[in-house]
Amino acid sequence: MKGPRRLIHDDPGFRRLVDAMQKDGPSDAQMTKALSAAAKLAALSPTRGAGSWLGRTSVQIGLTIVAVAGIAGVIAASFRYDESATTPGGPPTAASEPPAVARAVEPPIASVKVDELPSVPVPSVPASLVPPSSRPKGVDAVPAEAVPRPSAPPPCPPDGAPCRHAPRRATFAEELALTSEARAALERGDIRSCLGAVDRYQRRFRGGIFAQEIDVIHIEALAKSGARERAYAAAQEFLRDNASSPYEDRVRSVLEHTK
Amino acid sequence: MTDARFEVPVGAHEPESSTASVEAPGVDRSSSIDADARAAHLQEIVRRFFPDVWRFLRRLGFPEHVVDDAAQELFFVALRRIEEVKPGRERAFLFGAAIRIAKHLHRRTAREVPTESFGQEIDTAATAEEMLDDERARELAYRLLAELEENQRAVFVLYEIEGLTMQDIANVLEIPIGTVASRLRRAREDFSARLERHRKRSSGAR
Repeated sequence: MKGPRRLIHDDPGFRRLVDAMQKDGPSDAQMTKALSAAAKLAALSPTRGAGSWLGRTSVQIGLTIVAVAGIAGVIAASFRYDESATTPGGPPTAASEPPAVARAVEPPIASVKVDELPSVPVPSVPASLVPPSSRPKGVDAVPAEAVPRPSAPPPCPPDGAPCRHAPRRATFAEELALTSEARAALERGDIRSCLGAVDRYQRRFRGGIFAQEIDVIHIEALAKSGARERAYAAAQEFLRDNASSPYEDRVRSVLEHTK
Repeated sequence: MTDARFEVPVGAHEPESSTASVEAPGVDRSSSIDADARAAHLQEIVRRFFPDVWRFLRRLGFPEHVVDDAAQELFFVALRRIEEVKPGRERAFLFGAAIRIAKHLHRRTAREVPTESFGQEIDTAATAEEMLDDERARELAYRLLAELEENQRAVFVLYEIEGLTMQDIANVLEIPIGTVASRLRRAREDFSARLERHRKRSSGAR
């Protein structure tokens, strides 16, 4: 069914309202919080497998192995039973009762479906990541102790080569702390401290989790400090490298003001 | 919250399919990527869709502090499942999940649609077209949306603002497409009438 022509095409007033709403959005802190949750979630374990192709396939393979093993056991037991039954002097009453293994295995083999299985346990998540509104529910709130503790990463190569281990959980807390420090310094107008935090981040975590955020903070700090040419160049470079970034509007705004 | 509520990922631009089935292509990619790539993928999802979902929840009529919680909660839960969703379908999946979260929050807090929180009085000295102040335009937009009946509002926002097709909306909301059409028609009539009244008041005040 084809829908009606959208109001936005027919009513400039409505378009104006939509444009205004489009400029609304989450704050940097909210974005950082969401990125933090993503980083921690990624560090904990792969997504639950119950819904994934591999997860389901793995379960199916496992079930098949169990089923085959069970059937093999039944067959083997039957053969042993038959042999014993035909052996003179064997137990005369055994033939009237199926082996216990067969009773246990037979029913579920053909009927078990992956979708009927219980869900795979959800990865543990630190309680600090759960929004306050959802903490009391209990299902997702897991003690922070359940989160694996990061281990110290090897240092980044000093020659400027990409630091591949940067996004790992080992550096996450430090990355987040430096990003927060840089942003807080920028917000209170302490450009020197802001640029210091940006520099430390870029030296230690090049290509890290908050690299885009740090780049944007850097650009804004340069613009605020009066280094307009450098801010302009950095903004252009950012837009070239991150064409569809959610920070695009902010960086373009800097670009406009530093022309 | 059960994960079953998130098993309704629907393609924003794939009207033919209604769910991300077990056999959906693309679901196997998460199993083969290493931890770094997975982390980068999740962060990319957040960067791309968090602002969209945040705005969507706001348009559904929730005040900012509730939207913050809802958006965080949504991503916290939905990211566990996002890798099961076909590339290109993430946005609709997240919208569907967002509606469930929002309804859940609404029930949990017994919060009424906060029409009053957007301001009882809108400055009528200018028409919506003439408002240069984005904040005031947003305030008006949120108020007009909040005044729609809840079910109609969801359909209206998804169609008129988020740009989903009617089939997409039927899939996201799990309702027949005929219901989508009727809710959309009523919502458009209601919204347009309210906007028109605002314009008349505005022009009368000048």
